[in-house]
Amino acid sequence: MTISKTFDFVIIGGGPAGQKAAIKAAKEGKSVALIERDRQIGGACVHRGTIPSKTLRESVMQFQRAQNAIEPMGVKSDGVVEFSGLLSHLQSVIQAHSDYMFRQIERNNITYMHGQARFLDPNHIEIMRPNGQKQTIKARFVILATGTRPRSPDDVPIDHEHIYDSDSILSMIYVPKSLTVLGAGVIATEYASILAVLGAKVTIIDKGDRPLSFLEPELSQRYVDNLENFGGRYVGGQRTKSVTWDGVASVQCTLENGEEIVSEKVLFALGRVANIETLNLDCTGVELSSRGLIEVDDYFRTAARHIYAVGDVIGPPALASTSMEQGRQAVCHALNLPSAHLARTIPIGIFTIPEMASVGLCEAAAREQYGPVIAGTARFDEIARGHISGIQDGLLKIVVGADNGQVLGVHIVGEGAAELIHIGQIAILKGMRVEEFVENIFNFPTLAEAYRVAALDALQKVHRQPPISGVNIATAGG
Amino acid sequence: MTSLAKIDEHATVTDVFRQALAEKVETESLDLPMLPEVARETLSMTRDETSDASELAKLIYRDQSLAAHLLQIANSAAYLGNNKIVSLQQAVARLGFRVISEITLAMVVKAQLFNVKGQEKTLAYLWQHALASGAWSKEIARTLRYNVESAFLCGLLHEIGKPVTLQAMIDIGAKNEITPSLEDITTLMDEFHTPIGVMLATKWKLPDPVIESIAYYQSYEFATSFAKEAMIVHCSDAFTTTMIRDPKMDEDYLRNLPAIAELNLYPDDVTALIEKQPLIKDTIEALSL
Repeated sequence: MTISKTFDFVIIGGGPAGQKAAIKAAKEGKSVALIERDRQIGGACVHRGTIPSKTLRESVMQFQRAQNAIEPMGVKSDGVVEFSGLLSHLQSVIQAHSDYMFRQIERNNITYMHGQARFLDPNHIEIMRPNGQKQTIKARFVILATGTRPRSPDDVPIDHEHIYDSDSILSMIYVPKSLTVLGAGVIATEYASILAVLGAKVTIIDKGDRPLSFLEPELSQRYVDNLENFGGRYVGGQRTKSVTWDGVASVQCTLENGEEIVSEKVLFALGRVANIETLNLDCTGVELSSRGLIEVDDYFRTAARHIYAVGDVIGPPALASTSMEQGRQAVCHALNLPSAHLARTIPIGIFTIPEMASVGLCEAAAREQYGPVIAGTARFDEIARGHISGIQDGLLKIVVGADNGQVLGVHIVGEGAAELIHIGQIAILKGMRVEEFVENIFNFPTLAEAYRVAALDALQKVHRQPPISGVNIATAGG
Repeated sequence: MTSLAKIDEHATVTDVFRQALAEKVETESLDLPMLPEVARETLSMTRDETSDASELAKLIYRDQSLAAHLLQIANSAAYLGNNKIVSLQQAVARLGFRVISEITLAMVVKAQLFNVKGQEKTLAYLWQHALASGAWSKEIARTLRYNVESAFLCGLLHEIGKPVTLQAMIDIGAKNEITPSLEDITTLMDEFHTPIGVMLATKWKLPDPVIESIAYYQSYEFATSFAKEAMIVHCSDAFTTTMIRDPKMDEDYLRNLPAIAELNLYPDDVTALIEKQPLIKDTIEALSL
């Protein structure tokens, strides 16, 4: 075995988790190699997931806003839009992001290696370039951040032409007349809503009674209402028995209840699998969970003590924001550096149309955990800013403990939800009581006013409930 | 008529053809065939989301020869479903807009361009090459999960300039009473097919990825908006040439193509692609009618 170089840290995977791990290790003065299978760093987040879908969504929203703006002026629009046209500035967004990341890698003297990594033994890694050339490096610590890819079951003939997965859906060049979406998780609902707004007749099929079942029911309901407004349909409580392309023009999904749904295209978005096959983990001692994810302890250490795993490859929450912090913390642990525990209160932003966001506990979960709770809601059509910006279908819900008024959860649907949620996040982290939203002043007119309105609603309900200890009812009533 | 008086008396026949072609390209005076109305309208209907299948069927009815070909293809092994297709409406309903427009364009291109008297053998080779390139482009795009639907046309039409160049040479030869040798034809088609192909594709208002693939498949590093399409076509052209030369296909050669690395295709990907050769042959057979 010819070893070309030895590194303190070898990071496998150049997505958000891998990048932050590499940068942290380099900033601590360690020699670092970052191996990436794709030509560009950024991982699924930049190239196939978060950034492309959000860019598409933003283009769709701009298109919709433009249409809404010109119609009252009597300007007619045929409403037809090229899917590929909506993604036209995606490449520049990705390029700008990629350039910035490469500059960061360079600035920190990180050795970037393009190729596919494979363990030869727990400390030696072979890197194969696309042309087959190989080199071997040695690592003191390894951080696995290889991410996940869409699941592709044998009985669903995903061909990226008629039946897409959540990576290839972006290569669609036009809006299909009809689309069946299998799955009702984040990715599935995001694309379903975008394509429904663009004019595709969308049907979502999922085993759950409602889409995004981890969210507050009100949010799921708003999503379904909006989908139906655009001619879509949610088929809940159903599993798909078979998916077949007729060989020429349409795809048929047969449900377990016998119903057949025929559409021009299908998006299969039921689960993701860890990218581990080519790593040859068998020779490392790294253990996998029953779901094929890499098992780690609280410090992101695998069963092989010098090998860490971070990001989507270890499973939920599989958010870019969390993955970055995991990467940083894994390096801190390896180097015995002090590091704060990963925050448990993590906001979730879902870029559906309408946008949704959530932090903390749902009403039902809060009740289960804390006993009696009160929920206050604010509808955006009661907020001045909602009228000004044409965001009237939104809703903000605050869940508070009935005994002490402590904010336990905030759930928002409506444009700007993913930004607005951070106020709720801080409120939860700081253990704030609901009346503090009433006692403090927010800018007017802003959507943040919804917090105050929801808080007032919660406090009005408090008046009808047994008294909450410590809540200043007099102030709250103002 | 090309002015032979301007040509050096020592000029070879090849030089005569080269100069005449260069002049025609430079002055944009080449006789480019029109895109038949049926193909133009089919393409435009495919891009129009409000079009419906019955309109497309009516359109194709106008060209009986095309309609007959379409039915033949719809019933070939590559497209045949459970039931035999007996009517054009059934073909349109079953095959869908995209497939119909793809077949229509392929048939029209074949009838319009791959039809030079006395050059049947050369044209048959070029047509096989075009079909195989279309099919390989599609499979490469599928491996990359990238624009599978548009890949076929990009591959099919990337050397559309070759039959036009050939026709132009035959016309130049007839006017000047000279005959190009097979070597002249091969050399000059290689030299001129790109600018001529771009001129034709622009005149026919073909989709931008198709025009860029024609222009840059040999020099994809200069492509601007559709570099990936140009790279895919570059590779499909190499896969096609390799397959036609030897059905065993030279895997090492293909693995080491710089464009394969550019597309981030690893050795396993190339092996898996080569295994799709029977599928490619089915497509060629279906569209060779």
